[in-house]
Amino acid sequence: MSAAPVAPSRPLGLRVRRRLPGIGSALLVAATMLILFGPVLMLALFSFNDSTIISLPWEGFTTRWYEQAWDTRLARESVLNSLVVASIVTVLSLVLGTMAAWGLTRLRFPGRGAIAGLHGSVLVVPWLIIGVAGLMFFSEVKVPLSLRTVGVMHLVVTFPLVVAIISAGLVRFSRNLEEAAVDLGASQWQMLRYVVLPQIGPSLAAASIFAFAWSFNNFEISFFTGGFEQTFPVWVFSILRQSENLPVVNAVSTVIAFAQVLAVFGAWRLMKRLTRNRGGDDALKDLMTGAVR
Amino acid sequence: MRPRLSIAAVLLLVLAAPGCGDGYGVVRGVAPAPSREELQKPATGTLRVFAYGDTTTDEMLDPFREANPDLDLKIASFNSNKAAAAKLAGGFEADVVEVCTDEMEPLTARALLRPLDPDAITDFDRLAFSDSDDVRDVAGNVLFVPASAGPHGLIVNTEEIEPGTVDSYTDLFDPLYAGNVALESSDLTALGVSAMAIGLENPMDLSLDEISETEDFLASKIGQFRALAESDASMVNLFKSGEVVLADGGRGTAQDMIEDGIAVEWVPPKEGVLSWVCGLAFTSNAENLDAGYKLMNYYASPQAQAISAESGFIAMNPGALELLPPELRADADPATLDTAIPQTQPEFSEAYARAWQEVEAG
Repeated sequence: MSAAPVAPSRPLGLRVRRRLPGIGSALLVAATMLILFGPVLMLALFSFNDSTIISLPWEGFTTRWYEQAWDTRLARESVLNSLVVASIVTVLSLVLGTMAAWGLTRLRFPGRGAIAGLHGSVLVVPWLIIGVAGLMFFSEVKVPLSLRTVGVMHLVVTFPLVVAIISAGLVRFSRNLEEAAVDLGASQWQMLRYVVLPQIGPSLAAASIFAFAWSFNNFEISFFTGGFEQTFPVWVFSILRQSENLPVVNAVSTVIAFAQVLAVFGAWRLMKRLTRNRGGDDALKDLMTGAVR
Repeated sequence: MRPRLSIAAVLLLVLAAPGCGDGYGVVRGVAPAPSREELQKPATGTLRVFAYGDTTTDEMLDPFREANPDLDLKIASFNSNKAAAAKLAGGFEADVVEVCTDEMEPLTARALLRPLDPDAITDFDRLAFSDSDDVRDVAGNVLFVPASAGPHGLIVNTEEIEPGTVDSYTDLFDPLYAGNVALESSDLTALGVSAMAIGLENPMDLSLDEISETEDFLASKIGQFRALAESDASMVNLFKSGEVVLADGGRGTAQDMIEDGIAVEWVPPKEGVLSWVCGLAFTSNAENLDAGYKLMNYYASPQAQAISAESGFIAMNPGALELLPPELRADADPATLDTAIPQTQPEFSEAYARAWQEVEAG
């Protein structure tokens, strides 16, 4: 009895060639992740280094920069100011932006295209110019600079962004569903609550995250339109003259970066729950793309 | 090394010009000072201060707040005088603004400052740089009370170079150290240091010919340098890694290295140290002058200067030294500044910038 024939193994070159795209993709993703997150990870790492100098070798583990940051009244106040401004700006821009997006995508009226183009144009104006324009405006109308003026000018830049994101969500969402809901006896409110909002939920979440981040991280507009209560980025820039302040800035920035990552993760979990029937992966994609897919 | 200013900030000066608020841009006489008796009383009302964040910390201002409980002290921060000038020119209102000699030109050019009366500052004559023309306007009026400074000399690795053998900017160009030298990447200091190395005496006021001569010299020696350090952090890294054993740099940077265990010393070169100088000035539409003078008096006092020195600055008032722990006195001693050349914005500042760009580009 002769032995069963053994299937010849594929040549090594062929196997490598077949795996090459996978390996290349993995390397590309790794390099992209390193470029995107490397600086933030370094910042977090050095916030625990027992040295005022941001450099290797590692001098030992410490939490004193966090303690020092917590003990710095101006750091605490500036973070709190930024949180308050960004939260209010986020809520206002979501409400106003959703209303504007609804009007622009669902209603027909003369000049609709011009209005849509006009509000979108703010997105391409540099924040520096918007900050100076805001300063000159408030100066002319004799409004003292404060966190309120900062908030108003932040709203100027976050509102069009929210409109753009939510409009994209609304355009993608089929109007047949709205009409079906109305045909089945739903009131306008019920149609909005049970049909529209769940569909544009990921867009709302994405818009909230972007609006909050834009407001919280903004330096240019905050500097020029702020008064004697400073936001976090303005405080950071004002103390960077001395390099020994860097570790404290690192510590506060690490906490903020961590909180922002948590917020995005929280939003994703929330979307996953709200859109359980659509699958978590879709919710995540919608969240990351503002439902523009 | 302080953060350099963005081109965008310069553009902002142009953009902000039409928005001048009431009172700005108007040349005014010396701000009237309160009487001696009045100066002794606590300040009242509201005082609006516009300054760098690191010179208006709670540690610095709490004693002043305690001494003036009825004063509403408001602080706004900036990251450069050009940004401050843009904001003031745009209509932001403040009484006192922090100015620095190397970047105050936008403030003076737009008449955003109001001269002050030095007789109302008790310790004015004791302060470093108080007799310098750089704290005065062209008419000789005092524009600001010097409150902080940062000398710029040589940083030497004491394990690689025997202490005492380096004492001149010419050593930066000595072939003995070729490939192990760094130069701070700033047009003012790089050209200033190089100008002094070739024997020019006014590094902050070079003529166009002198700038050209300095540029040629620097370009011919560029191979001498291991790196052109863009920041304090990169300078520290170069010393820490051992790549560099000699560089120009600030005393504060050297102190940071020493605290981190790097064997270096800061050496004041025999040609003279360069130094940035900052202080407090009145804006041209300052309202609460009495409180402003009281704040300036506080900043000039030995007590405030001792607090400033503990934060890493030079004590501008020598009276502060006896209030400091012995280990801090040498580093805070304003005698370091006796031969200092204030860093100011040169008449041909654009030529400085262009020359440095050409050197960097090779």
